[in-house]
Amino acid sequence: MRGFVARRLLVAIPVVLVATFVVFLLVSATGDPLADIRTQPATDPQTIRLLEAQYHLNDPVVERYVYWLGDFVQGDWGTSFATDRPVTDMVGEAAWNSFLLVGTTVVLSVFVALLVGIVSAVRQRSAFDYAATGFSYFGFSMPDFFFALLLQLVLVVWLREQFDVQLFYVQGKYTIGEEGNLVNLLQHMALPVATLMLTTVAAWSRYQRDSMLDVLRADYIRTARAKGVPRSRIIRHHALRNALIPFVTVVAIDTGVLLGGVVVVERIFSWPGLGLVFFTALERSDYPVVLAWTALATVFVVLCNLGADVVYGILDPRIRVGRRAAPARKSSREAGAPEVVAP
Amino acid sequence: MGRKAWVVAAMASLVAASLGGSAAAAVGKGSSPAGLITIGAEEFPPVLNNFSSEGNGQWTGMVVGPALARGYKLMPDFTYQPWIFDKDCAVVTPIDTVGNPPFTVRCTLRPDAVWSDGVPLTADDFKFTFDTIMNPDNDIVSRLGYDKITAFNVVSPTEFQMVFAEPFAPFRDLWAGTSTTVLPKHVLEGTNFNKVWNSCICDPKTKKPISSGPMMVESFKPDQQVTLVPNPNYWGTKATVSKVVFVPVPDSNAEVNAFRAGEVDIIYPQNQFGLRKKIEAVDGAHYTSSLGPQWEHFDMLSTVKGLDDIEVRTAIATAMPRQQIVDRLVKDANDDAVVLDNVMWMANQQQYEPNWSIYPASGDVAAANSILDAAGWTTGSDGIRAKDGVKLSFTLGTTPGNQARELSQQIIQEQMKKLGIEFTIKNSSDILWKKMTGFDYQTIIFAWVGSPDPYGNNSIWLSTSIPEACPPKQAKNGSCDSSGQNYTRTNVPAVDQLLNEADREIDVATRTALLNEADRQLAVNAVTVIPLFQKPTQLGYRGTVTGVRDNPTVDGFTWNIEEWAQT
Repeated sequence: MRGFVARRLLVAIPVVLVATFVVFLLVSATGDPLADIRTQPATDPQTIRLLEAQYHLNDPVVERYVYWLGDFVQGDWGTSFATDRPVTDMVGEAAWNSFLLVGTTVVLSVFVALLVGIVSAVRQRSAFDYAATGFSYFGFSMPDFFFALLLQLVLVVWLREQFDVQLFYVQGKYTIGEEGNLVNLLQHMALPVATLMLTTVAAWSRYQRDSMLDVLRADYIRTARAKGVPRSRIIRHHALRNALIPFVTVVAIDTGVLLGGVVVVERIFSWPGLGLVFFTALERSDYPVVLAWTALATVFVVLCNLGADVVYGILDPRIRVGRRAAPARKSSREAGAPEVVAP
Repeated sequence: MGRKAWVVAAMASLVAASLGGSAAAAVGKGSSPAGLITIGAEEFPPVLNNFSSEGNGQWTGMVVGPALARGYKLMPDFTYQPWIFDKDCAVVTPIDTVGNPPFTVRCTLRPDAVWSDGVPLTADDFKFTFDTIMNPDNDIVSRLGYDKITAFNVVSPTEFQMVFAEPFAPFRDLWAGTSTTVLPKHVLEGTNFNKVWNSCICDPKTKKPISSGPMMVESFKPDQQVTLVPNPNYWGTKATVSKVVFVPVPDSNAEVNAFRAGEVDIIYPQNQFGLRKKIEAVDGAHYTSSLGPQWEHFDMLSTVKGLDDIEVRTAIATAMPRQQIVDRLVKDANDDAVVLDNVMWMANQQQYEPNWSIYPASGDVAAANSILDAAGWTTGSDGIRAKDGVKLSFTLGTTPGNQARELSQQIIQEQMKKLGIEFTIKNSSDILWKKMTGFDYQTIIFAWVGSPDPYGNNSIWLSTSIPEACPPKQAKNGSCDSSGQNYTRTNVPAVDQLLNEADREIDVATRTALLNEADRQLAVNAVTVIPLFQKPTQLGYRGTVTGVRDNPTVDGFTWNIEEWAQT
């Protein structure tokens, strides 16, 4: 197992290199950190020259990437062009906030998706199943940013304007003066988490449903039924445990992807996380911050994939992780649209 | 944990969440506590140092402006009102003939001006600020005008004199505007200005806030919050609000939602369609809009084949449907929006004369066609005019994603088709730097930022400000001068002469006349930059806040923060 983990971590290195280099190329080709001051007539040309030299803006792109990489591997993530703060400080502070959002989303999504998936499978073609399918289509087709704004309009603006009540919030992590208040934090987290959950629950619940249906059709379940084992026991002890194995791996993989998805949501809710830092940095062509985020997100995805493999091995003793090729898996997003339930 | 325990825990969590929600619903009415005003900032200031390249944005100025006084306050009508100065600075050296003593400006300070820690604000602070600006090691975004000062003499604690090698009329601009705040010598002397002024406006040793204005920057959490509190030792009218907090709301739709929900009391978003109606629909909310210092324009690179014929540029200006652009793009936000007919002065400045009205605002296609016919540009079978093998077919670029500019492009493209001039829209994100500075464009739409005094815009018009197109290697080793911002390669000797003369002319009326004449020359003999309109500001504030007044200059809407109150 250790050897397997070590190998996977080593594989992550070229992945991080490629990802950061591609992002560096794109950011360098499309943006200029000095764009704003260049279009101000009073800007001192000497200052522009000084900054160009300081940021190596006149050097070839590859050379600039090597400068960044050289510092990065030594633990120096550089200084933000825009804020003049160490990138490690900016990213470190925001990472906790993002993980809070992502972590809560994952935990709640697992709970809801499992529940919906199991009930849908057990009561296949019932009204609940159709409703859950409809919800999944809605979740898949609804863009994050649109749903976020919709939630804001209905659950914040409408409630406020019609009833003068504020259950949830549009922006930030805390209301001013309420810093440290857990309830206030939850009220601020509610809508961003709900937005992120829309897609995850839609996907995971379908995955769990399909997985559960497969298991319920298996011979050993039929045998159990024939032997008179109670239905509830069959579902909990025989079907669910086996159906959980692919579900858990999908959750682990998708969690990595969620860090990317959180970018839009954090911006709309002004949530002070990595996504907001990344988005702002991208607008300013602040590539030390953009690259740090890319590296962090890449490592996170790799770790989540690794976690999926490890968990898969633990849940299913038949699989000897590290001795054979890892089982073929798909993220829920790769799995495609949910199965259409026949009428 | 057993199954029952899990169920109990889950139930308890749900009950707790419900109770929490109810409790919050009972107290959470959304509006700010008494005396607290919350402002949603679309572009949250990355740093607080308004002199630096990073902190040169308008939001930084509006955040730190109330904490750092200037010599003059810029008024909404673009005039200068003495603030730290006790009266308007005066020219003390007569300049009548060549060889006279240098041009000297004398400024006197209010004797009661003090820093928040009680230390008097003196001429030494002005001298220190000047030295900081001119220090080549400091990241200072603009040294324009300061570099003309040959000597800075502190005469007494309340008086200093600036000596210039030659007459310098726009001297007021040196101590007006939020990027010219006076720095506290007693706390900043001996520190690294590039570092200590970025994250706090404070004494670097004690970290206590320092201020010379009505408010102090109590705290700055990057990308999260800036808090201003009243300066108890302010020597002017004291602020009555207990706290002003800026929070980031980068998404423009979410910004409006936050305003409607009462999470923020004031918003000052970028110009966007339909915003006015949304703000006005909020119960008790107020909406105001002013014509700001940013002005949109259509530029033609005068060395491009076809565009190098001034008759072609004149025809384009004659047919330019500027009124249609204003009606479609700006009227929604501001009823008073007009076509801008001057590139020196803004329409709401006293010195403004509509010199570009020689080109009909609605665009005269027939007249434009006549100009082109007379110049020998004939229409080919493809409907495009040509002469001597040169076709009137150009690219029209701007930054992608800017709805207003993209709409302007379409309007212009349609109109110019009627002249037999083809415009192909070619937008790219690097158009304002790589392409424009490298002269790799033909026509372009973007905005310049004006200032109360047109001096700051000289580098757009002077032939000496035409930058060289520098390959990176040459720029790097300094063998090629890419400075200057005359990106249209405008070269009208009369304009050079008039602008240089205006810089030396201290008589306001004469100077205004010179600058308006330069503008007329640009309209007739250059026709490279066609002014379109001033971008309107959009300010929304809730009915619970009083005293807020917009200021379209760089001082922004926080210019009179001491007059604000929360009801």
